[in-house]
Formats: sequence, C-alpha cells, structure tokens
Amino acid sequence: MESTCLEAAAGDLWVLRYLCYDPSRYPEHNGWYYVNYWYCDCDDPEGMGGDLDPDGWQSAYSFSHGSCSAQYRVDPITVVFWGATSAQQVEDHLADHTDWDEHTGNNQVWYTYGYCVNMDGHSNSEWDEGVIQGEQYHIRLWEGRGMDGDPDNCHFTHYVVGTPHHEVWDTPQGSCGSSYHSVYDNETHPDGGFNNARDNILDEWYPDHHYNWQWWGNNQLFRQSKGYGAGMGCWYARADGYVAVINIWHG
Amino acid sequence: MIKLGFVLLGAALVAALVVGLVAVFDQEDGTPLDPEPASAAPVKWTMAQARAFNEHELYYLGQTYQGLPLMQVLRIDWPGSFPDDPKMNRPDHEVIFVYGDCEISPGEDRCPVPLTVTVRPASEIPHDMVKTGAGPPECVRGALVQQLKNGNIQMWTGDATVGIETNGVNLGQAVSRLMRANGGKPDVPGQPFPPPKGGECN
Repeated sequence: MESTCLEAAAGDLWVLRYLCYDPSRYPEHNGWYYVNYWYCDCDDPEGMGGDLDPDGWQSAYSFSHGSCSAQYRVDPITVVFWGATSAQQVEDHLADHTDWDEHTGNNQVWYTYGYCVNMDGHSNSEWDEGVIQGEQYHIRLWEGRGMDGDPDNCHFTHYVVGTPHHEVWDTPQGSCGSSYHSVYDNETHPDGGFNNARDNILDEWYPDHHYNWQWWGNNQLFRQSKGYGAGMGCWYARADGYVAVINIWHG
Repeated sequence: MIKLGFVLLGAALVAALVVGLVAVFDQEDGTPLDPEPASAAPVKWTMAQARAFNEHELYYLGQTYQGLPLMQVLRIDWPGSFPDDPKMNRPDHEVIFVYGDCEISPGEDRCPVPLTVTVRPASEIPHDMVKTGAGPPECVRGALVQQLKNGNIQMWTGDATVGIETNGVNLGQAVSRLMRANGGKPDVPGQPFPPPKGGECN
C-alpha cells in the first residue's frame, strides 16, 4: 500500500514522500511509516562511491602475491558495483547482462584496511576460439570490507570492486614472457584490453544500471607475454585511470 | 543528469542511488632505444614524431631518469567507446614516454614497467575528477601539480595534463626535470611551465 502525499521542489532538489504500510514493521505506529525519496538534478561527480578511499584504505589494483606490494600489481580496478552486498550478486548480473557466466581462473588478492584478501568471486565469458587462439573477458571480484577485514562490517554502503580485462590465449613470445594469457595491448587495439572490458560492461548494463566516473590514476603500464613477432616488440596494456562506479540496482 | 535518492525508513536513513603504441628510435643519433624495435603492425612512433607532434605540449624526462633509459614512445589514439554520448564517453589520446622495462617472472601473466610519463589533453582529466589526491594540489614551476596517494604525480600546464607514473622509482626530482619534447619552452629542466589553461598558478 503506497501513496504519494508530498512533492516539494526547491531548485534542483526535491523530495517525494510515500506513506507506506507494513504490519510487520513499526508496531508502535501500527505498521504505518513514511519513505522519503530525495532527488537531485545535478552533475554530481561524487554521488556513488563518494566514501571510497582508493590507494588509501582500498588498493586500486589486484596483486599476484599475498604481500599486496606494488611490484606485484596485476590488474587495475576499473569498476565498482555500488550497493552490491556480495560477489555472487555481481556474478548474477554479469551472467544476465553480459553473458559472462563462467567462473574459471586463478586467485588474486586485493588490499583493504591492512588486509590482503583473496578474491570473493569471478566471472568470464566463454573462450572465443575464432580470434587468434582464443579470447575471453574475465573479471575478478572483491567485496568491500570493514576495518576488521570482514565484508559484513562494511561501514558504509556495500560495494564490490572488479578488475575486468579482455585477454587472449596465445603462444607467448619468448623474449616477452612465458604466460599464455595476455591482455589486449593499446597499440593494436587502442582502447586496450582493460578499458575495453570495462566499457563492455557499461555498454551492456546501461541504462538498466546508472554509473558515474572517478579518476583514480591507476594507469600502470603492464608488459604482456604476447608480442608482435620475433624481434618486433612486446604487447603493453594499460587502463586509462578512470573507474566506473555502477549502481547495482536497476533504476 | 544524475538522480540521487535518499530513502528514509522510519528513524533509519538509508542512502540509495536511484538513479599507437610505438617503439622509439632516437633519430638524431640513430640509436635504437628499443632492443626489440618496431613491429610491423601498427603505428610505430619515433622521437622525431614526438618532436613534430603539434596537438598540445609534450613533456618528458629526457633520455634517462635515475638510470632508466627512455625505451619507447607509445601513442594511443582512442576516441572512446561511446563517442555519441559525451557524458559516458572517455576518449584517450595519450603519448607515453616509457622509461626502463620489466621482466615477466615465470608463473606471472604480466609485469609493471617502472616509470612512464603520459601526456594527454587537459580536458581528458579535469582536476576535479581526481579521486586519489594526496592533499591539495600545489603550484610548481607555474604548473598545477597534484601528488597522488599511489606515489604518482599529475600535472596540468597549458593545454596538457602530464602524469608521471612510478612503480618503485623515486619521483622526488621528476617535476623539476620535466621539459618539452616537441619544441618550445621549457626546453631545459627548471624553466617555468605555461600556466594551466583557465587559471594562473604562482
């Protein structure tokens, strides 16, 4: 049971008040209570994600080693799923919107409040074997923690961070590295595999999910194992430093 | 337009939201800077191309910084994934001066290079978008300089923004060492930078 009883506008800010009834709640008021929705028509660069402290209490990269030190940076955080209470919730949306519905890949760690924590989930697309030897989208996910490292004690809005990347499976170039996984470089693919995967999420999720941008400056350049051919140089990939803070709720 | 919604449930307030990389050769002395020079593939830049670049100012740290040689100059020219939607779109037009390199350890998928200097149009990173500043920005050599929490430095001068990105390299002298790579002043370290477009910095 719901009705609108007030709509007040003051410049770019207004409120919609709903009178609601739920007999299981607020017995002191016989189940009746108000819900106020405050709206702001403004270009708010903070909004979602305003409480985050990237490179302070939350690292802007994932790491391959449990020390979470800079020399072990692997992937930049380029998406924050704001309001998400679990990695599973994000995985469900990724399967629904983006068709990233597989879950293979190894662990990485993320730093938050002094803890270097294992990933809480991950999603990937099917390997597309039509390109080079194969390509896929992959994202690792970490749930925002409280100061005690417990996701259940997140002291502000719940969130999940992710490291999407678009990568190939191909024979490494020995002079570059030995891994069969390489993120698309920014030369042959000017958006690069980090930006491309982030933007793929935005393209598939928007407008069901709104988002805003923050610039974190996590644009570390990473050498890849794939190269352009013997004596022709290696792939190098980087993100552009922008992070999309995405509302997990449809709206 | 962004809609922000704040939901008040009884006494409890719950906030909710409704709503061309390049291998470089020094063309002046002919010394290849990249031990694995130019790929056949895409656009391969040279320092000569960097010197001829005229879209905005380019800055770099010279041929070496703290013993790290300039290995490559990379060019990224990306209009963004959503060019029809300026609010969503994030174009990326970078010139990257890469100092040193890294080796991918067995069992690792990639490695972080130690030092890059990235120059982009100032409009691509407005200062008020920066989320990771370590304190307020400062004016250094007439430019607006923002120290970042990760140790990097972001600077705005003229029509450009310059990022100095480190992984383990001390950047203490970096801003004072920056100089123009494509003609004009400052052509030696220490000279003043042009003020950031739209504001003075003293």
